[in-house]
Amino acid sequence: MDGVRSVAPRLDGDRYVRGSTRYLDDVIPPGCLHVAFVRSPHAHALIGAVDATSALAEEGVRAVLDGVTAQELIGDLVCLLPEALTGATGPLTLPCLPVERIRYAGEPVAVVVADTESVARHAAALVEVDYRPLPPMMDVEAATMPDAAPQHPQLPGNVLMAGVVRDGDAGATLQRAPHIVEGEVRIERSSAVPLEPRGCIATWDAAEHRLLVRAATQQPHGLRADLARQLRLPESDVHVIAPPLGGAFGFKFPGLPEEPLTCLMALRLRRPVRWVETRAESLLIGARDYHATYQIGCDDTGRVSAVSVELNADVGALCATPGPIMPAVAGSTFPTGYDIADVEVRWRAVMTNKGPWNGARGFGKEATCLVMESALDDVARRLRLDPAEVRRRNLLRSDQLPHRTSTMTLDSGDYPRALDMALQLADYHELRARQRDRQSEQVTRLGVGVAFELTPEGIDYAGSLSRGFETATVRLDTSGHATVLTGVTSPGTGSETAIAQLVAAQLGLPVASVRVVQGDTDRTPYGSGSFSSRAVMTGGAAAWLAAKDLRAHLAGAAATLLHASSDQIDAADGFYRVVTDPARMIPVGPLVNALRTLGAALPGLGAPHLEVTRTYGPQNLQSIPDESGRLQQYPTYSYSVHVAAVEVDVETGTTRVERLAAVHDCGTVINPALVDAQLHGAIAMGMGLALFEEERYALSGAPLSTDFKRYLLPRLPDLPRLRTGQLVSPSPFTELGTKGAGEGGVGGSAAAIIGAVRDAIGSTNSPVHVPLTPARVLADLDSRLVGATR
Amino acid sequence: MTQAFTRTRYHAPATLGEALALLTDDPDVTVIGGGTIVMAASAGVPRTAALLDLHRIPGLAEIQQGVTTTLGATTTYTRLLTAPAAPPLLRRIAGGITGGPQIRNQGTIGGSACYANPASDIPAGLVALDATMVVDRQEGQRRVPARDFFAEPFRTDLQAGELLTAIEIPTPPPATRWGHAKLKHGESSWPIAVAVARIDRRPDGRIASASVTLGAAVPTPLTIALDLPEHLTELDRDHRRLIAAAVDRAVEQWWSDALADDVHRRRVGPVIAARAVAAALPNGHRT
Repeated sequence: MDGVRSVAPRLDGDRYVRGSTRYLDDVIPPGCLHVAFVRSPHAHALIGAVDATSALAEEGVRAVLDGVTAQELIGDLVCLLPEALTGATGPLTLPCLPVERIRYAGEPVAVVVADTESVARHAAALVEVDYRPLPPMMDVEAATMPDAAPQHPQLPGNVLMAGVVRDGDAGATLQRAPHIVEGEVRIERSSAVPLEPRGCIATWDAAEHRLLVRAATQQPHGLRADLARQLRLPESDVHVIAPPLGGAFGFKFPGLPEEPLTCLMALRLRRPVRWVETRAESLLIGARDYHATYQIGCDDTGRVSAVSVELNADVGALCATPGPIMPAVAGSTFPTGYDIADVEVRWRAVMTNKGPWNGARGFGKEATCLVMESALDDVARRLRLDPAEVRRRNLLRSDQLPHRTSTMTLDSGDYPRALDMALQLADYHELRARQRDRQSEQVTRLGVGVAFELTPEGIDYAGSLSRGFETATVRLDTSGHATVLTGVTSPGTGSETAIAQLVAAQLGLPVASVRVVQGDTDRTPYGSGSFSSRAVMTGGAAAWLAAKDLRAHLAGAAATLLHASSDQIDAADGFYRVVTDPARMIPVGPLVNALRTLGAALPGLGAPHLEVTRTYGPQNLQSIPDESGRLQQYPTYSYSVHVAAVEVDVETGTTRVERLAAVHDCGTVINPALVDAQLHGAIAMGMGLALFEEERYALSGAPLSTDFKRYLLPRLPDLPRLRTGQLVSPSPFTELGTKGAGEGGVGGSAAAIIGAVRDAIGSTNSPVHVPLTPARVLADLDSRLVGATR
Repeated sequence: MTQAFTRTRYHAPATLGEALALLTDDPDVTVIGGGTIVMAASAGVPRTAALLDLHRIPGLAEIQQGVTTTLGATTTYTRLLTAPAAPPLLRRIAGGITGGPQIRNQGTIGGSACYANPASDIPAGLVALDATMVVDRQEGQRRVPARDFFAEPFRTDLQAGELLTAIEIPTPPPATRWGHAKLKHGESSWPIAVAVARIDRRPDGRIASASVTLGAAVPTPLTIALDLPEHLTELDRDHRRLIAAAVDRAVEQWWSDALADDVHRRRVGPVIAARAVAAALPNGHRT
């Protein structure tokens, strides 16, 4: 990989900076019609007739479609959840529009199409629906009561999935442990909330007899396959284009009804039809909502011997996105990077009358991190040990890697070294000294937190659209350029730049001579798009291998033309040269031209073979359970260590993050600037998770967090200047040694901030309840004041 | 419910007279100050029948300094931050408004006052400064003290056909000291509590009178007179406790909204009030 690693500027950076990037919402085709959804005001109800008479009487209204009619016209959504976990026979399916039961407030009930967006919205308000409201089930307890109304005919108890992750015998080991600490973590509902919401524009091309769909999606090929099945079109007659995304973070996986319904209306009306999600609509989607209780056992030195966890996830209404699988990933990620032989995690994903889940950066692993780190903080407090020291005593050492658990094979790294580096970056000793010197009556209290986060990446989820392999085509032209057609997409991360760097290095081209084509099902090979931080690990490696084949071919041709042998040929800066006589050289353009015009004709010159397609998938997977039932869906294991210092105002409960340091190891790095940018973004999200972000509901089940004044995101002034460092421990199991780079930091920074707040206010065994809003911090303080005066 | 879809009407009159006539003739008209109402309307709710844009009317965005400082109703936060004539307390408040340059360029002091959102910065500032609201209607003009202007949450004393055109701020005596404190949940939050303290001293330096005006934590701004020791220069823990207790006694009802309920505001409102008082004292600034 020598010579590839560099801070190459982003290929599309100038477009973003100039504001000339054309997002989905920037396009309104001529003659376009607009969709608005009639959405249920009730969280739980039975529906009768839908009366669209007054809506259809409005000028400019073109069509109204309800569930009963839609059922005849469009196929169901299919949830790709493993039967072993759901206990259901066959795949779970859902109609695009409900015909019987409303399962959450905001669920689409009917589609209205009109000449303008405002007429469509106005007409949607005129559609009369016969709702018979039922009591909403707004938490796991309510939804799992014996008489709870089933939210899906195939799942009578409302438990969507359940499982046990087990290593050794946690129960027996806990009984023997000198110390057992019990704790509780509650993570309120939050989501990934990219600034750009979802949306799509569907156009029926009558001349070509094809459906063109522009969609803000992470998985254009997956969306195409779904749309073809649901709309009963051949897959080849559906063309999906994903324009540049304004963030995705897991929020833009297919599996929700709006995109197929918008396409259906375009097919029926033979006009372009457009839908762009509003902010209130996008905040209907969730991605986290967990409650965990745990027991952790350790000896007098803080060495942990066993951990036992009960994890309940409230996944809201069932949907066909990959979102609901996240609690299974959370379960499988225990005990992260700690050397704990006896582990038992009992997890459940339960359906309630909140909105459905889509994916979110962290993908369940951030919940694991919060639980494990809370447990280690408890151990430190119980034994009056430094929390950093407790981590050091329990983290796996580098000589123990690869390390195998029942669900993971941790690949490579030096966890204790990353911890030391992070402590140094944070000036940990200075922080602790400052903390000791503080007077206890001060209104603001300094707290310090430390957290280790393991981020398994590159999921190969066999049986779904989210597979671990990728295909790339590299094509050469007479301008001396290479074009990469790749199935991975860039949600704004810059993966295209890293892929171009790899291909440029392999072919001896300047990065600027490489074009990367993404997000177009007509132009790119089939691929799973962007998820699980695998764009470079898989898409980059496939392109690297294809370019390697081309390089050998070009070197052979150059050798013939320059009268040398292939092993004497070197390639750099767009030229193929004879190593011993650099004056003998040929630029790539003329070399390609020679192959095109003389290939297979001129003696010694090979076939005009200027386009190579390769498919690549990493090792270190057990994607289908082996004979013992072991399943390992992640091939790489990135990790990071985070140190946070906070000032907590004990009179108002507000927290100010004063310092954040993080050391991240995601294996081989192609572009350090892009990888660091990923870490920065993840840390900001972790801060939101720890302190601000929460989708709240009224008792009636109506969502309360409907805009960015009611769903608070961190802004730049909330963040301290981040101190970040990188360690590089290449994966022995991937072509390039790379691991996923995009998720590390969400759970780790959140856990470090939470640990710091609890350190500042001297929390003992009170439950962790995030986000740590001022009211919750004050309640925690009060609970201990009451205890102290007793 | 089944009204026909109509486009929102838009008026941008060039004179105050035309604006007042429109307000009289069209009872459904909504005046645009900074445009919060337009942003809400673009999301579909509430539907607004007609909008009245004031930006063409000359003189409405001017600041005039005299015995009193007169701020035109459409004076923006940016103007408050940059105009030398702007009262220093309002400049400080404008600097803490949530949002970037676009919000500061667009948001106006009159718009914020007329919106009368309890969880906002401007109303308490105007009440603390003992401002007078200048209200025009076709028949003439009237003046309303700011403390009477904020009638209840999201409702002012403005009557049908009336327009807020200016705000008059009296110049305080040179020995008056102000203190400002504000609490919010992170940068994107609206204010949870704001407080402005005013301390007037006699020529010999003894405290003559003290008060604190609380906003955001209460439905409408509330000024609370404080009995401070004459020679007070900084607050110790007991003073803070006494001030907080006085504030707690004076407030009949605490405000509650999506970001903080009344229980939380009752907890933090008195703290912020005490911090404002501390900031108005010579040695009051604490870390």
